[in-house]
Amino acid sequence: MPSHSPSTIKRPPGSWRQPSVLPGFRLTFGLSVTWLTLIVLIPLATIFMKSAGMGWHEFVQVGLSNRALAAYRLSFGTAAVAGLVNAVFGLLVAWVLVRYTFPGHKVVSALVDLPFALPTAVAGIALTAIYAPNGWIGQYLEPLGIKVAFTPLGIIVALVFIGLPFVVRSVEPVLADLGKDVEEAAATLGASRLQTFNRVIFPAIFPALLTGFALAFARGVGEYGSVIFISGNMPGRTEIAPLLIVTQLEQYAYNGATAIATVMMLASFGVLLALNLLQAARRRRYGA
Amino acid sequence: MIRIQNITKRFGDYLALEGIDLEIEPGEFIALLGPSGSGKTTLLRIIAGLEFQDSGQVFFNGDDVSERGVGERHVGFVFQQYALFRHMTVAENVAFGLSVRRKDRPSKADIRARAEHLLRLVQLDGLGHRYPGQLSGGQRQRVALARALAIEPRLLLLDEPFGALDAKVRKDLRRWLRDLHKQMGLTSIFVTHDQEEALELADRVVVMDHGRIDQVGTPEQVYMEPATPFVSHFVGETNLLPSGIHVRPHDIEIVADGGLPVMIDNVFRKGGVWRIEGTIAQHDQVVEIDLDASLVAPAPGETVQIRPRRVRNFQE
Repeated sequence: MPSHSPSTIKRPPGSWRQPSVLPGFRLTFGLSVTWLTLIVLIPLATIFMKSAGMGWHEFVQVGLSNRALAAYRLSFGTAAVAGLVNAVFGLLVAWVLVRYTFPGHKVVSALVDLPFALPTAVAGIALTAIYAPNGWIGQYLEPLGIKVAFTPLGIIVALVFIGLPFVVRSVEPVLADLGKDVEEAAATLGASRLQTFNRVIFPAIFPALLTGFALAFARGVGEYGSVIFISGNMPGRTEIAPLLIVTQLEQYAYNGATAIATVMMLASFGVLLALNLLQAARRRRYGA
Repeated sequence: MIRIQNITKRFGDYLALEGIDLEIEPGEFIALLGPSGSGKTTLLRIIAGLEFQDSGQVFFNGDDVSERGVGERHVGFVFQQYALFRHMTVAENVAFGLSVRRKDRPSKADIRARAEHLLRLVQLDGLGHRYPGQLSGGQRQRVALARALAIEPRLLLLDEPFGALDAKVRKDLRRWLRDLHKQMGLTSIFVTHDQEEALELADRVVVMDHGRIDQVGTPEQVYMEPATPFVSHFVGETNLLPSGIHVRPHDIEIVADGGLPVMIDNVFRKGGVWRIEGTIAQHDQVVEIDLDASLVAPAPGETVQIRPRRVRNFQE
């Protein structure tokens, strides 16, 4: 045991608390636990309790009905695809923002954040107007046999719009921090541009990209406002899980709503936990 | 042989290099020495092909490589901050240059064997499986060196190679690098702002200031016969006496009479000598004197007479 003199830095054997010269561990830790409990834990626990009160049989009947299963598949599937699309194009946008200075750089940067600020219903209405069979873009896609509005594709378009800032803002600082010298080192060793990207740049920004994907995915799973306009909400085909919950609530079926919410929450938590563990494993591997 | 001919480089309005001419013989160990902003790093990067000159040429063994990119010049480059690939193991870092070869790439087993050999050479055998984040600064520097040597470069370029290391590690690494340079028959150029490092390591020192070369010479020459007041001032310690006379602290002796009167301000032991700080009374000019430690040092407040033994006069 280290022999720190003042009574403030004592460490009982086996304690996970690191001795520190900075005071306020108790205060900050206590506050953050209280805060998380009030804001996150208690509301979520209420959902569990509510759904626990309904009995297993009823829970399965509502929470795992065919209609609900189709909604989960749609919500998680479209969110995953939209997250992947955002990972690719968000990386591209981040790259351009970090690597090049051009007139209007600040404007483009501000534009990226706009999906955060816009009421999601506005986004949904705008996208529907554009992609509807008689809309600006929809009218040209229609003859090609591509339907966007009122199909799962439309949901993906809405989720891509909503999720873009997450990937861009996660990747941008890491890319800026990566430094030119690592790329130059690869070049002096004879690597081509493509080899440099594949073997040096991409692995370095991958964790940030994964974080961006996870955030965009999580947002996509829970997204409601922008999707309900463009999806058409056909049960079993284009009905997302959050909408199903609202539908239940409108019919005063609170138990059913919490059952669906519980399933969604567990699934989301599982995915996010897996992504976090993957990150932690990588960090352990590469040292400090 | 490396020949650099009339190189000029501007960054916007800023003239980074102006009319640089330099020839480097095979096997030489060259130091580019100068303060920050002298253009030394820019010159090194132009030789590497990481930066391109506005005018002038670079020749490697008579071939004009001025237009060739860094990948084609086949030089080893060690970066100031190491620039290691953090997500790769030490062995993967070292093997990188071989594994990205597009034609006649060695087999996997050959690459591994070569990486192991290089790690032994830089005294890091057994650490190949670690990640750069798990190494000390000195070890990282040696990984960077092994990685640069893996492509068997004819020319090794090092940008402030010891800048980020503490004094003890720096000294050990310096000596070790000198041995390695000899043992491998390399031609090496390194950039430094530390005159002691340049004098200790280099066969020849190129002293630069404001984008120009002030002097090229052996450490002996640049120290004993500085070509310009700047070199005299920058390389080693110098007292600036009135009317353009430069004199080293160890080139001053204390005499009984007939010298310049100096008021002693401070005396302390500096390694093997007494360092005396005084003021030349009639010019109000600070002067530093090194006195053999076996002699009795004057006390602060005393006035002594000094006489320079050897001076450089830069008066036109």
